[in-house]
Amino acid sequence: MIRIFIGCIIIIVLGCDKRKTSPKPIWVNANHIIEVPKDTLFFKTNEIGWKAILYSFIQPIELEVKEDGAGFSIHFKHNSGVVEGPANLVLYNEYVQCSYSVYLKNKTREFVVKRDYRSPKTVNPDSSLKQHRIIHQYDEWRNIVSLQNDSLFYEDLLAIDPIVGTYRAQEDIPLSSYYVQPGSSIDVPVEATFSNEKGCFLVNIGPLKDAYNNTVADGTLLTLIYTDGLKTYQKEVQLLNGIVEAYICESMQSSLTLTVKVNEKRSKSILLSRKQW
Amino acid sequence: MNLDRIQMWDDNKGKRLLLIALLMGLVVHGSIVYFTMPQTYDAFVHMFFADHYSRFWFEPWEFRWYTGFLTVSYPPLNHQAVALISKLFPLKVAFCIYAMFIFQVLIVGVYRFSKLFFDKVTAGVAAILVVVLSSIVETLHVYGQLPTLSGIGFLLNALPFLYQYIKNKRGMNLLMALSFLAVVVCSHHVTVVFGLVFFIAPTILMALIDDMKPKEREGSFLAFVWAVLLKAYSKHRKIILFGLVLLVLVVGLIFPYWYWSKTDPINQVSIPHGSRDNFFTNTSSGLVFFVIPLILIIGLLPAISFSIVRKKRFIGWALAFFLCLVLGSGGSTPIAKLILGEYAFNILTLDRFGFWASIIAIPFMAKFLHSFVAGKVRNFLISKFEKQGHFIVSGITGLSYFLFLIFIFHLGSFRPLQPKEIEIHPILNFLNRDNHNHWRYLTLGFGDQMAWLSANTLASTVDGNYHSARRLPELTSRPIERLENAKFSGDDGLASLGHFLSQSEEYSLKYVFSNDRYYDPLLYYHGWNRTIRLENGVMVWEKGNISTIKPVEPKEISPLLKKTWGIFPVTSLCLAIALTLIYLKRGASKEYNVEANEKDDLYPNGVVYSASFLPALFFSGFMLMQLNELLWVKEQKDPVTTALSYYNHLDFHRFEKAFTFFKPSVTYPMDQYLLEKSVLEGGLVPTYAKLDSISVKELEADVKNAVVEVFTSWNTSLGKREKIDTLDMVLLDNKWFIVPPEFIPEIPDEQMRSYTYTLFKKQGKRVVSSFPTVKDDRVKKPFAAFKQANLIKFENQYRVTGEVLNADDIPINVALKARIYLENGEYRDNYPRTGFLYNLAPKGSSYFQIDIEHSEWVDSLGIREVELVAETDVSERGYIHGPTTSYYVRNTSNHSQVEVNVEYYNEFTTEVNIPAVLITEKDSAGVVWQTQLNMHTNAVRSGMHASASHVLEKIQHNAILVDQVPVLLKINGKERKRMPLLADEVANNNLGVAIQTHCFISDPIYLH
Repeated sequence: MIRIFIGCIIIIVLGCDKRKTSPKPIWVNANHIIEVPKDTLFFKTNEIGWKAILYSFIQPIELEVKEDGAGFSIHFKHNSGVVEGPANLVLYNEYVQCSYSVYLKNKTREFVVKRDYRSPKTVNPDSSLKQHRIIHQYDEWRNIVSLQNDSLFYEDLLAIDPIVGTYRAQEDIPLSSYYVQPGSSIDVPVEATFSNEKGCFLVNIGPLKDAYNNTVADGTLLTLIYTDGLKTYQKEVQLLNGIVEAYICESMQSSLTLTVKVNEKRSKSILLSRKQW
Repeated sequence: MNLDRIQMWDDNKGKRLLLIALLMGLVVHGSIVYFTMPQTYDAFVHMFFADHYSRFWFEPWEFRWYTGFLTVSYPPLNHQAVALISKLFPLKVAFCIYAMFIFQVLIVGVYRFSKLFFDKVTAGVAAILVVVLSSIVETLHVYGQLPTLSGIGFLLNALPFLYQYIKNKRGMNLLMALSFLAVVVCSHHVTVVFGLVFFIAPTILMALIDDMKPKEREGSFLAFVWAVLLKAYSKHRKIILFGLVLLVLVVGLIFPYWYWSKTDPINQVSIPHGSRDNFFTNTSSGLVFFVIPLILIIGLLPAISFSIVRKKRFIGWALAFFLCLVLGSGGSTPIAKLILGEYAFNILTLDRFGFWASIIAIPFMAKFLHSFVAGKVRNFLISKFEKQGHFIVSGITGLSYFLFLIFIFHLGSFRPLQPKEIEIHPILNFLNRDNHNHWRYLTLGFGDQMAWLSANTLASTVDGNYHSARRLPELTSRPIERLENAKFSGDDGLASLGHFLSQSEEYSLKYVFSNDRYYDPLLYYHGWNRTIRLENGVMVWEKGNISTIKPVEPKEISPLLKKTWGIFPVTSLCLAIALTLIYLKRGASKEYNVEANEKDDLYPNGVVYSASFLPALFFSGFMLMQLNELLWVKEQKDPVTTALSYYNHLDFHRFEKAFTFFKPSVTYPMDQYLLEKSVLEGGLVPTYAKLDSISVKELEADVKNAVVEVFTSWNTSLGKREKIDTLDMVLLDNKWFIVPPEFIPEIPDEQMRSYTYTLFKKQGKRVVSSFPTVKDDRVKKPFAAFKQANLIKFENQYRVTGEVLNADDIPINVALKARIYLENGEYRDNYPRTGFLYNLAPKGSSYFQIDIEHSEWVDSLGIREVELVAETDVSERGYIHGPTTSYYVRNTSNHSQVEVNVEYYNEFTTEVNIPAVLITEKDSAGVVWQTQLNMHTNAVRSGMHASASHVLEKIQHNAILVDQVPVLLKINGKERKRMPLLADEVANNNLGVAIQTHCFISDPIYLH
């Protein structure tokens, strides 16, 4: 009884495995290069119920199948371009699946975008004034388009002008901009006067310039170190437009010796004494 | 015939009472549970687990807490049931629905359990008692312990079947008992383990005794014990069969749990819990864990004790009850520790024993209460005190207990256990924005609501709220509950939190959501920056240079076990419900019903008096005590009490109340007090501290005047701070008042103050794109440089010191890491803590000190090299470090110490909340030997001065500069050379001490 049961099961399983065979459709206007989205592909077959998908190397592309008595034709559903390159055209119906190796090419190319990438984006005269540039261009479907000399990319080293600024590599595209920042100050000019209005010493620092005569960056930290012989005072101020105006109101009775420090660069020491004024 | 009718009436009366109890349970608890639940300890934790099963039913790995843990560490049935209901209702509502279902199961369970002891009417009264019993109310509405209620509810339903099976041997009874016990196993493992001792064993014993002949029960005690043993032997097959099947169920149903607990045992320092306290010395713990849950049991203890020891069939229950009661008393007596042993005592929460004692006591309380309301006790009292007397006692007891219940419902309001409810949607929006959920986050000051936040997001936190599952050594090696409430775990908690905040890179911890400004100084001085205050008031802190979450290898368990974990528990519940329906359809057995015994209603006069009057006394006494605390405490009866009360009000910021302690005067109105307070105070201690201890000493005192010295110790997130104040007091109208101190304000010369800040704004994302900013619009890594880096050894402790410079034109955030390579090829990462300025203005620099952890161990293995790594990122905040600071250094009598006197002058337009300096010791060549953060306790207002004195222990004469170990420098992944070492003229003029301001400015946050 058990053997009969097992036999029945095997027969049923084998029976289920039987498949209908179907001939492969014949591509009437076969061509390795398909122009998107204009081309129409014609196939001859007796079978019905065909579907088609075009697998490009990055994405599947929807196709429309129109059947007639002698076979079917394939059209692109969307009237747009694709990323060009090798692709597989896959046809299938209930019983059979077959594929054709093709190459996709866009029928039209309407506009081309040029890209100019530079690295480093930020240049500081303290370190280097060289910039590595790479240029390429692509169409609206993001296919790289050859440059004038038939190469896909152009690269070179640019010597950057040491003038501080925000430079736009391409007009109106903020992300393509590069920046030249000021370097460190080469000197720390400082002078002080007594402000009767405030009753304090007014210390004028700056203008701070780098080696290329650029104004040193806003926010640069300056430390005013002054001492009255007993106490050492530290006042931190930040540069704005290359200068700082700071008031020192401590210890009006005694004289103060002031030095201004920017990183390790120090100004000359000056004496602040009310007697001078 | 007449007796039959009475019996039938009683049967129906019992069922009616049960129905009333079920209805009352639904109405009373169903209507408030949604509102009390957010205030509970555990509800959100169970909701988090439910959310896990709702999302990943067959996957036990939960990545959202502790960098990942297995949910098989807790029996899943309740969570899975809530998860299923949450497919139809919101999670909170689903939890409440399931809680009400469990409550109904518990009421039925108590009814059926009580029928093992007394008649159905008593069982009905017991069912009603469930609705109002304080231990159950507290478990649901204060603790939110659904699994405990679920476990006990199904256990109580199983016991009558077990009793019948042992006594009468019916297969259906065994099946029913086991089906309910299966649900218990899948609900709450602790209830199973202890339920065997406290519930199942007494039930079997009672069944054996009831099956004995009356003559066997009446002999001597030894003869009785012998008879019980013989009876047990005669039924040993049944008992063994039950035991074996139960064992299979316990092991098989939640096998992954046992497998987990065996292969990954809990090995962590015990977390202090109030239920283990001595309730006599720690009365607040006693109130919450003993008095509130057990007040009715204590009041009725004479009646319970009398009933439970009166019959031999209750002997097992008597032992279980008294044992639970003693264990539930925590550390009040040494008995609990002796019985449980040191280890079990320190890991168990003992309030559950008190809870079980209250469950065992329910039938006995019900018996007395029924008699008190409508039985012999009532008749006796009426005969002694007339009807009015009985009515008054009943009224006082009932009313005061009713008030007591309301008190428990609102316990969370009277004694806040949790922070106020936090609207979590702004946090969820923040986490979903710009890929913020690709990093871990941490909540501070959220209480158990952190679990609710976790349940609503897939973002991960390093913290968590299920202590048994955590395995991070930084959490298990210290007695802390959660990082989120670290301040309540004292120094250990803050040390652990500090570790996570400084070593945040290891855990990809980038965001902190702070709901408690107490932690602000800790966060700031560990290099965190405030980013934004969300609409719900929660401040978002961020740390720069943190990598996104690295994949963590989940702890794998067999796919088959994952399937069983997902299927068995819910199947057990479905099976129990199906079997119950079949059982009810076939006609429930009445065999186990105990006939009403007339003698059950009889109590000795002493028991009647005590059990009748004690509850009234206790409840009304308790309520009067609460009223007394609220209304009638004499806070100004003597100088010491006055000082203590004044500081208590100050600590809780009740300034209006605190003002009433000052001597009434027309020249010192309240606005003057508040004005002086705002002028004088602010800063680390007044603003960011919590009073830890206080002691008051009377310096001088006569009849009318006194001078007291108040010594206060304050907990801050950066350690303890101590303060001594002197208060003059005067006696007026039998009340002591503080004489307002003379106020000499510092008044700035200027009428109006101006200051120029140079602020930066990081432009952020410059294209509209769903790609995160970090990918879409990358800003270059800013330049930095090491001015110096040294490996120093002092008293067997290593440290890396030095100075780092922001060489760029924009403010930057620097993340430092000292990687120690050992001779054996291993390495250890170490991070700076408070001794570093993490944010630097352009061309600004900072000294730093990185202490090497486990230095002695590192030394024993030998250091091959040190790699000092700096990562930089653009920062738009935190680079304004403080106002003008002056200092001078003096030698002290101790030649190794110097006194550094610092004075701050705040020329800013805003208050400096915590004035502080980094004090650095240098040698004449400029080598940095050590760097320390030193803070001033009070704020400096705009235009004001403040001064502080700090003692620095100089180390360079006893320390070694370890120059044979190379220190490699890396900045943003590239090797760099250090800059030439320069002597520091300013430090050399100040006995080798240099300072840098490192102040905390609370508002406005764009400055800091």
